[in-house]
Order: sequence, then structure tokens, then C-alpha cells
Amino acid sequence: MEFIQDLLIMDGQGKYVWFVLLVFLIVIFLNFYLPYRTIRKIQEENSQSSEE
Amino acid sequence: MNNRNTLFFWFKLILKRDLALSFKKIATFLIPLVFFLIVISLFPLALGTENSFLSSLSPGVIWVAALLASLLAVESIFNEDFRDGTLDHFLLSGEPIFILVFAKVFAHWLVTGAPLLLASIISTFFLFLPGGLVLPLLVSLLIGTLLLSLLGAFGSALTIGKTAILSAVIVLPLSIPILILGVAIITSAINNQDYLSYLYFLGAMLAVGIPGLCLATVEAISINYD
Amino acid sequence: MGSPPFFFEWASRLLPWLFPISFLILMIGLVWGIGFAPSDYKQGDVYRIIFVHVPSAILGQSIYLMMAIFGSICLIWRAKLAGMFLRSAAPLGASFTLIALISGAVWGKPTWGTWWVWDARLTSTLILFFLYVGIIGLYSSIDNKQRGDRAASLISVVGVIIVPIIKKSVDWWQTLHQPSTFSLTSSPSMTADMYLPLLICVIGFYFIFVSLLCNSLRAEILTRERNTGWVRKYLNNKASG
Repeated sequence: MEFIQDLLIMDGQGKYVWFVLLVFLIVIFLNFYLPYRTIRKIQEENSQSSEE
Repeated sequence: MNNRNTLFFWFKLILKRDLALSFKKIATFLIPLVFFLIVISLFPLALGTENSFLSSLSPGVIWVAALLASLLAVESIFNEDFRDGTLDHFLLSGEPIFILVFAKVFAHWLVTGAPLLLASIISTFFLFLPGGLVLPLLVSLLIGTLLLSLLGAFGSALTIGKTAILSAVIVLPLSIPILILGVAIITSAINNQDYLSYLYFLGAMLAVGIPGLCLATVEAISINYD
Repeated sequence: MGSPPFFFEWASRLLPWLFPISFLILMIGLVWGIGFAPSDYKQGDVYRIIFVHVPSAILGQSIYLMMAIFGSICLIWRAKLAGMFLRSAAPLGASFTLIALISGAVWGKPTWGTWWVWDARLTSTLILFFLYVGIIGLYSSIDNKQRGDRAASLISVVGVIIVPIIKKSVDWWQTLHQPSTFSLTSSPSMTADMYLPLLICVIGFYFIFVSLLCNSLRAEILTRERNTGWVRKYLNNKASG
């Protein structure tokens, strides 16, 4: 438990480190999600048009 | 008639045509000059009028104003010829378009860049730049505005028919070395340091930039005619 | 081999492997670096930002070089796929450069006391970010895809020639205007258990970049080729299967 607390707080510097990590993860996720959504959209549009 | 003569013939022809066109409208060479002076006079208005403070800022301010003025001026260099089909004709004629680009940029620089040199002398009074620095200022601006015109022509060829601000966003980061070197020349001169090495480097950039940027501009124009 | 259908097929098969592998490497590097590497004797724990900052800065630069290579292929051989590569790589390069800038700023606050220092490296990174934005702005404002590809290729190639000049001039500017008091990379001699996780992080970042590149490339190919026969066939198979 103490280890995890140390890891999170890092003598008051944890907020900087974790903030950077959060930014990194968000940017990576966006870069994954936006193309993924484009692919899904095309697939859905196609299945709609083929059903008609 | 050998090849070299033909090239020179085209160069002269386009230069004459463009100069004649711009002399018809007095605005073409007055507007960039006035724009430059307006930008210069914005700084005392924004920052206060203390002489020593302004004179310490003046190299940077003059260069930023010159950069903006020459890039904005060259922005529309190909628009007219693109719209009325002159560019098409020249491309179809089979003559080297390289010459067209160089002649147009040179004509444009004569009309808009050269007056800036004159205006920069006036701006030294506005910003209290010490009088002995006029020579390095003029020489650096002479080379710098030529380079900026070439760079701006490249940007405007890439963005024919698009907003001017797009071309500015593309070209401004690329023009940072010119700005830094130009200011470095003047600040070195202020501090009585050797500024010739910076000047040589700027000159070398011009020597490489004339063929390099003209070729890039040619390529950029040809993209519009696929 | 350089045809979009071939590459699409290839990327689709590779991605289910590539994503887990890159996540694994990235996890190992980051957990090791942030959780277990010893803390720095001068900066304390905040130096751990290096495990995100340095790999993103490296990627930001190498993606620009990569784009110039794709760009020259696109200009010389008129290869459609190279243009698509360039379009998919540009937002990634901008993202990694942005991460490098943000992490640099966040690192600067506790160590230098300010969010921003006009240090030569930070300034060059900022300019690099502007260059990325210019490229993205250019190709997204041109409706004709092929022309957009070529315009973006041209500006990347010209940019990559000018970037060394920018770096050199930024160095001069630095020496002229201020004695450089701060240097981000003069991290006091890193020990093996610091730079080993850093190395793993760099490799992991490259892997995640390649995975994301393949992912965006699939989207780009599908959007561009959506009216061709093979895409229709692929989509119908997907819908029925």
C-alpha cells in the first residue's frame, strides 16, 4: 500500500509525471480512435446501402 | 539563336510585362511600403516611446515588419496569371517555366521589396536605431527581402486560390532562419562584433535559394495543372 | 506490391499482432521507468517525464524525415500509396511533437520554475510543430486528393531541406541572445537502470507509431478507394461474414 502511495505522490512531483502520462494516453487514444471511427462509418454506410 | 539568348529573351519579356503591369497601379508598390510603416509605428504605440528601449528593440521590429510586408506582398503573385490563363499559355508554350518564375519574382521584388529598403531608412528614425547601422541594415534587408520574396512565391504557388493566411502559416516557420540571421547581423553590428560571417551565410542562402526555391515553385505550379 | 489493396490486406493482417506487441513493449518500458527505475539524485522523481518526453521528441523528428521520404517517392514516381502514407503520418508526427512540447513544459515547471523557456531545443520543437500544422493545413484545404498529396509532398521535401538551417540559426540565436543556462538533456549521468527503460520506451513508441500509422492508413485507403471494386467486395464480405 505504501508503495502505491509513494508511486502516486512521488514527493509532490507525481502530479507532473501522471499528467504527462495522461496527456500521452489521450493523444494516442485519439489517434487510434479517429481512424477507427472512419473505418466503422464506411462499413456501416455500406451495409445500409446494401440492405436497401 | 542559341538557347541562352532565348532564356534571356523570355526573362526580359516577362520582367518588362510585369513591371509595366504594376506601374499601371500605383497601389502595388505603395501598399507594402505603407503597411511596413504602419507595423513599425504600431510598436511605439504598444510598447511606449522610451528612446533607449525602442532602439534596443528596433532591429527585431524592423525585421519582423519587413518579413510580414514582403510575404504578404508576394502572396498574390500568381493569382492573376492563374485566373486569366497566362500561366496555362506559358506552360503550353514549352518554354522553361523556371524563367517565368524567376522573372516574375524578380519583377515583384523590384516593385515591392526595393521600396521596403527605402522605408527601412525612415523606420530607423522612428525607432531611434543608431545612424551607423544603416549600411548593415540595408544590405541584410536587400538579401533578406529577395529570399523572402522567393519563399513567399513558393508558398503562394502552393496555395493558389486558397486563403492568404494558409500560405503564411506554411511559409512563416520556414522564414525563421532569415529573420534570425537578419537580426543577428544588425545586433552584431551594434555590439561592434563581426557581422560579415552572418552576412555571408545569408548570401549563401540566397545563392542556393534562387535555383532551389524557383525549382520548388515550378513544381508547385505544375501541381495545379495535372 | 505498392498497390493500395495489397497494403490494405497486409495491414489488416498485421494489426491484430502489432497492437498487442506495441502495448506490451510500451507497458514494460513505462512501468519500469515510472515505477521501478531509481529516482534522480538532483531532480527527484520528476525526471521520470523523460520516459515520455524523449521518445516523443525523437519520433516527432524522425516522422518528419519519414514524411519527406514518402514525399519524394510521391513526387518522383507519382505513387498513390506514398501520398496516403504521408497523410496518415502527418497527424501522428504533429501529435508526438505536441506531446514532447507539453511534457517539456510540465517538466520545466518544477525544475526551472516556468512552463516555458526559450531554449534552443524547445524552440526547434515548436517550429517543427508549426511545420506539421502547415502541412496538415495545406493538404486538408485541397479538395483534389492527388494534388493535395503532391502539394504536401513538396512542402515536406522543401521543409526537410530547410530544417537543418532552422536548427543552425536557432543555435546562433541562442548564443546571441542569452547564455544558455538551462539544458534539458544534460541529465546527470544516467545509470543503466535509467536508460534501459528509456531505450525500451523509445522502441515501444516506434512500435505504437507503426501500429497507429497502419491503422490510419487503412482508414485513408478505405475512404479514398471506397468506390472501387475491391473495397466494395471487402466491405460486403465484412458485412456478411
